[in-house]
Amino acid sequence: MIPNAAQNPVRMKGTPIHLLVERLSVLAPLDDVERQALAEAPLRTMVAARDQTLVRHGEGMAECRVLLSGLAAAHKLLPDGKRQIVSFVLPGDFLDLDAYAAGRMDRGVTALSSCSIASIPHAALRRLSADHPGIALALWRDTLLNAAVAREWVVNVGQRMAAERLAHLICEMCANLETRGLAQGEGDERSFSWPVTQADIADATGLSTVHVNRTIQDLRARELIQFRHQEVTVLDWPGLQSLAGFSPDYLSPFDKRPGSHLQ
Amino acid sequence: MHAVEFQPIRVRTGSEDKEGRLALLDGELIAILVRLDDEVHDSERGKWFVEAQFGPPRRVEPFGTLDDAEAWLRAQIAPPATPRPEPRQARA
Repeated sequence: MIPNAAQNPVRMKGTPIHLLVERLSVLAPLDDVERQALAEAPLRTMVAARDQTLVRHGEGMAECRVLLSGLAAAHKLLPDGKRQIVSFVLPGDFLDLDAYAAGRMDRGVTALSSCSIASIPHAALRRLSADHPGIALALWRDTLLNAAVAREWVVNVGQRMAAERLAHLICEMCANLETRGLAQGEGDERSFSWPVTQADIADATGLSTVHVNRTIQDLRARELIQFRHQEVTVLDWPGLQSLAGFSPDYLSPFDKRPGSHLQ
Repeated sequence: MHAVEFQPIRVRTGSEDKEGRLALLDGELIAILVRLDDEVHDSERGKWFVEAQFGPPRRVEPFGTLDDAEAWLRAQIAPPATPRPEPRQARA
């Protein structure tokens, strides 16, 4: 925990900075000095409505944004107006860390629900990474993680049939949200909020909305999930993972064994 | 004028969407349409979905009527501006 949290109530658990510190700590071990430095970073918070454009393709900016609550989708737009969702952005994720190093974004990001967002100036991030190797490593690993997830999505749309494909996406959402304390459940059941439309799922899986409807029905008939009012209930978590061929290893692709130089 | 013909066919989609049509263009199979009857489709029920197509695949929204589907099929065979790519298997 942040050492002086007791003296500094605005920095305590549940605050925007706490979420960022916890997220980066999952990516790389941060020492107390690094956590404290992050806790003192200048953050600005804002809210966005559903369907609001959060990042424009090609946009450059002077700050990085972190999603605090809600759900967003990163996407590519095709010349004919079609859209491919390339990732979902979850609470704790950066919306646009790429632009910090690359200067611009190669994709757009849109809010799928009402969202709250914190932003941190690039200059502050640059200082934090220069002064604190743990923070620099965490940011680097964030991009490695996103690349690992993107590779898994290529496998998903390229190799898996509809039921396995949708099951895999739901497994990924569930595992990711569980890590962040945003999925509930015990035993073989899990539940989480997934504020997406069938069209959003179609855009993420390369299926038609008709096939998405049928596939959700198929997974329901197999008593693996329920999906209503944008709430997913996984009825058989091991069964869903087994159908999808899901292994969560790619969601934490870092060697944390004792003695590892990356520990 | 090209001839478009719809032949009734039952299609196994793994859902209640079973009522289909083989869409023939000048006697050649160009697409298979299925009527969306399953309750999962909500407001799309009753529309005709392009379940499979032959030639360059393109994802299209379901058609309200077979007449609309015919108009789309006729548009598909407008002379291509560039050589057509090899036919691909229809989307799963």
